[in-house]
Amino acid sequence: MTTDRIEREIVINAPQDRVWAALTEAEHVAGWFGDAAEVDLRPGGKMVFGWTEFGDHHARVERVEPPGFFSYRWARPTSVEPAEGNSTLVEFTLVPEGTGTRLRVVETGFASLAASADERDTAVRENIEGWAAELGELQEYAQRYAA
Amino acid sequence: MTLPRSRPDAQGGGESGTPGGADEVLAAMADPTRRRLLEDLAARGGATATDLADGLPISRQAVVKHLAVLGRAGLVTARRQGREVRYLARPDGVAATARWMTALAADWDQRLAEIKSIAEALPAPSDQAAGERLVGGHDPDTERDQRDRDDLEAGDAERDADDREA
Repeated sequence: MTTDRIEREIVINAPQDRVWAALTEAEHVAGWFGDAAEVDLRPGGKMVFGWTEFGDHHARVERVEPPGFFSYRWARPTSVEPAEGNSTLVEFTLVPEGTGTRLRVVETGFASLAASADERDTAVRENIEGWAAELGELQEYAQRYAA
Repeated sequence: MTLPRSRPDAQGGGESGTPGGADEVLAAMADPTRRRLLEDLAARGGATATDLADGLPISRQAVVKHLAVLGRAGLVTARRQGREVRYLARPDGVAATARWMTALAADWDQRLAEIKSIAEALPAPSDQAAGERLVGGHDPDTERDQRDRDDLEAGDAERDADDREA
């Protein structure tokens, strides 16, 4: 069943502090998310993920709890600040496992992404219009039936 | 396109195109009653709101409201049949959204693999032995010794120059 949540994990042969560095230090972030990154590592701090091909995505640091938890909210459209309706939340959990670290990522909030009118797919619009027409028929039918 | 591209994933990776209305599909399916209705519809191959309400602890009106949400997300279609309106499940919307979520998950698999290689290649400042092992035979001591020798040679050259001037 489809849910509004992606959860993935991996075991890394490096201690927590090195995984933490790979996750939070700008020079390393650019190695796994975008081509260039800026990270102001504190709650409310600004992050920028730059893609030469796609443009800059802005993010806001939510929680910083080294070396076990890090989260940020990033805006899906380019060049805008993350806000309600345009962003998803990414949460990393780092748990020591033997001499390594189990890293889990959870991304949530896809269902709350609001569609703007100009971005809306024509097919979806047609679908809504079609549905409105059907609802109209339903209403008409219900009124006639009740009379 | 309703959503921006999921990928900002310059490393390549799977398809990340967003099906139109994926957000509406996810929002529609976030509600357990609507998931139940959709399952009922799929199992019955179509039903009226009255049929659906019979099996649930909610009113027919509430069922119609939920069906409208599912309809806006493209998950259900309504068809007039004589005096009845029959609702049918449309699995395409769910399948497209599931494919999209699968692609997003694949993007994360790739990013996690990249984080793994970065973290495993990072030297540990407090652990010289591990650092040497992780950088694959590159020996920082050798490099330092070489630098020291360069410094010494440079110093000798300076002294030679001083000697000549003297």
